[in-house]
Amino acid sequence: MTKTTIELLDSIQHKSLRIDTTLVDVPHNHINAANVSVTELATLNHEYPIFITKNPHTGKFLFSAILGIHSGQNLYIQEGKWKANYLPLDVLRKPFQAMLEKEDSFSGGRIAIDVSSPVIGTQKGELLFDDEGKPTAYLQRIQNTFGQLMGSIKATEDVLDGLYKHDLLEAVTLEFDLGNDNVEKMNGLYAINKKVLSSLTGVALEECHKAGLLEVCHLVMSSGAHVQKLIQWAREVSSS
Amino acid sequence: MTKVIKSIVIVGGGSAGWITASILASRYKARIKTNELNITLCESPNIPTIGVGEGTWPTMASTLREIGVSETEFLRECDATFKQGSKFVGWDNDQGKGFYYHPFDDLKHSVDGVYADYWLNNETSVPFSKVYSIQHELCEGALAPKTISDAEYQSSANYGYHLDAGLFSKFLHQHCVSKLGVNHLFAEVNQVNKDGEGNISSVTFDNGNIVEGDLFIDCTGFKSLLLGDALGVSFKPVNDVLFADTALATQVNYSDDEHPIASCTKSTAQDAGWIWDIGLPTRRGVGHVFSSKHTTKEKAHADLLEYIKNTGGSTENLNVREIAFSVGHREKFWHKNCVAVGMSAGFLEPLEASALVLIELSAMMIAEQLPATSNVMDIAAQRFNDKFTYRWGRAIDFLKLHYILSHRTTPFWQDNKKVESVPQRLQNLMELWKNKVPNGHDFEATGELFQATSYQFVLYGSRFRTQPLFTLEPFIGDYVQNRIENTRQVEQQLVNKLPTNRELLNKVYKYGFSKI
Repeated sequence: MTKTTIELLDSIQHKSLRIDTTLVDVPHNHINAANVSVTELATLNHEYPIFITKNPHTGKFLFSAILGIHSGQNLYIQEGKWKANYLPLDVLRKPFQAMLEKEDSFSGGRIAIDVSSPVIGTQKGELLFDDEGKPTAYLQRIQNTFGQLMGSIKATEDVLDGLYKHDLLEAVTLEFDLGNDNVEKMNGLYAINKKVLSSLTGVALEECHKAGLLEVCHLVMSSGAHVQKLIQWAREVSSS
Repeated sequence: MTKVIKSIVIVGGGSAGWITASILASRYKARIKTNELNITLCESPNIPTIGVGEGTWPTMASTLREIGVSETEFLRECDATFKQGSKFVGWDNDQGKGFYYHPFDDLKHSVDGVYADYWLNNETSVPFSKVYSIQHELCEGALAPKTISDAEYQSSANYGYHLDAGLFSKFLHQHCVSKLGVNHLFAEVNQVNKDGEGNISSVTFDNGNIVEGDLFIDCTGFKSLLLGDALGVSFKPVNDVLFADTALATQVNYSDDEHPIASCTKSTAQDAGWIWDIGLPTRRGVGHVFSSKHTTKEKAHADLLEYIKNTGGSTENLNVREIAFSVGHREKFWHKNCVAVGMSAGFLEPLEASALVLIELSAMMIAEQLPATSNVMDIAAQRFNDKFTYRWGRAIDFLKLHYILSHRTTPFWQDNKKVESVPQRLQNLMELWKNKVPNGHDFEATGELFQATSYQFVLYGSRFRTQPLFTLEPFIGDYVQNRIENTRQVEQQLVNKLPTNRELLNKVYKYGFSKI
């Protein structure tokens, strides 16, 4: 397990820290799924397979971009580069994280940094604070990222609650045939229940439409095409 | 005169009445909707439900799912916790040393006997349950069988529940009336009326109401007002086999909110009986089951207090209730148009939590065999009686087994080992198992209450050892060894992943399980 050292961001303590944003193949990116907010779906569905997973601490549903097949495997990182035009905000924010006052209240959060991350140094990369101790343009972008993440939490929860209440989610197991009789299974995933979706009528259909659920269903469903891309990449990895 | 069975009257609430109503009403939902069947439950407003903590079998999870109950709501409203089996402490010797588990794990290869054969040949220093069941360790750690991400009724390990029976009845009452279309009325039975053929035609209540029905289900508890009193079916005691006849029941508060909640029922042997210990969210239900012929109430009471102190409980302000009971069952359970479910059918000490599962099984069989017309009532009755006479008999055998394996020396335990107190069928099995492990062929009835696996857990958890006469084929040894290694891996993953019972319950209260 990666050792983390989390410190609340401080303009004096972290005055000389620099973040090397060119480093991608680092431990905090060695993940096979990233959280996605509802506002990112329309962008990310062009490049990532998006499924619904559960938060292991609360059992609540989340949107997740699937990045790899087994724990720790990120197939989007190839030769030190991230093979996509858009990255999930949950990836972009790293090595920063929100420190929340309470476990699931998002008011009054502050930004913290994992100082053990290899992207942090004092020689190369973006400074966090200028000479006057004010946030640099880089840190402002990070703050903005957190603003977007925090701002979409409620909307994401509402959409997922709506999908669940209308029975639009179903548990699925993904099977990845990697060739040579090697089939890997991925559990704990939920997809849109197409049968329920196509049989929505009347009040339920109108509710789903008004709440934006229909659009979300189609975005998630269309992202499924990228599973094939992952399988292809995984085969290349396992044969190399 | 042949009539169509359209009206079922359940007399008596409590767990028996409401479980039966739930199972019947959910099975016949469509008929109730079209008014082709109606189910009415009548209960006395004055009977205090016996609110000791009770244990279920894993069957309860499927029963709850089938009757359409949310597991989250059930856990929140019935003070329920997760149970993964029973732990028998100190049953072997007078010093009370040692313990064994009878977990709910359904071991794949214990029914064919291969696991037991291998264990007897190789690993007798490590307990049988620890070798083959992940639940030995899960129970030792007071861990839950699932996580908050698992859907309702899904889990990593087989489980039932501990629950507050009083709250459970209320919960099912609400569900039956609001969701399943069961009629309900509060009234005291005044008189049971019979027709010329000796069938029950109606019940007259103290408020003057007369409720007619085609089939009557007696859930009136020990009193057995319908089957026993009105129809004269006699009670067959088995106190020559099982000697306990009294229980002292109480509730013990936890020392603090963080106190672990046990994942199993603990049964601790005493000089003339045993003490149950059932972990609910805010307190433990504890009780001493004993034979009044072998000890005094004062001594039994003192032993109970001693146990509570030794297990870290406070004995201040304890409210100890005495319950006298007769072990045994009715000569038959279904007679004419009346079938008894619950304590009106019979009672056994709660050593293997057989009470609620027998209620579930009875209600399911009534649902399956529900006669369409009155002229085939006797056929259903015959089938039911055959099945349940067998089931009660096997439950009695299995409870007795726990006693005869002990090496305790007080008169209660000595008397338990006297051959004339051991049912012939159990004697035969013990003879058989001297040189052959119990397997599925020893238990061939459909719906056996206790399978070979359960017998293995108890026999080999005790000091009993089958002496196999033949060597195990090497490929079987390799196979079992491989399964054991796999079990250790799964166990390690689960020990790392699973929360404690208390942690999971706190999350259930806060977030709930989802249905998928």
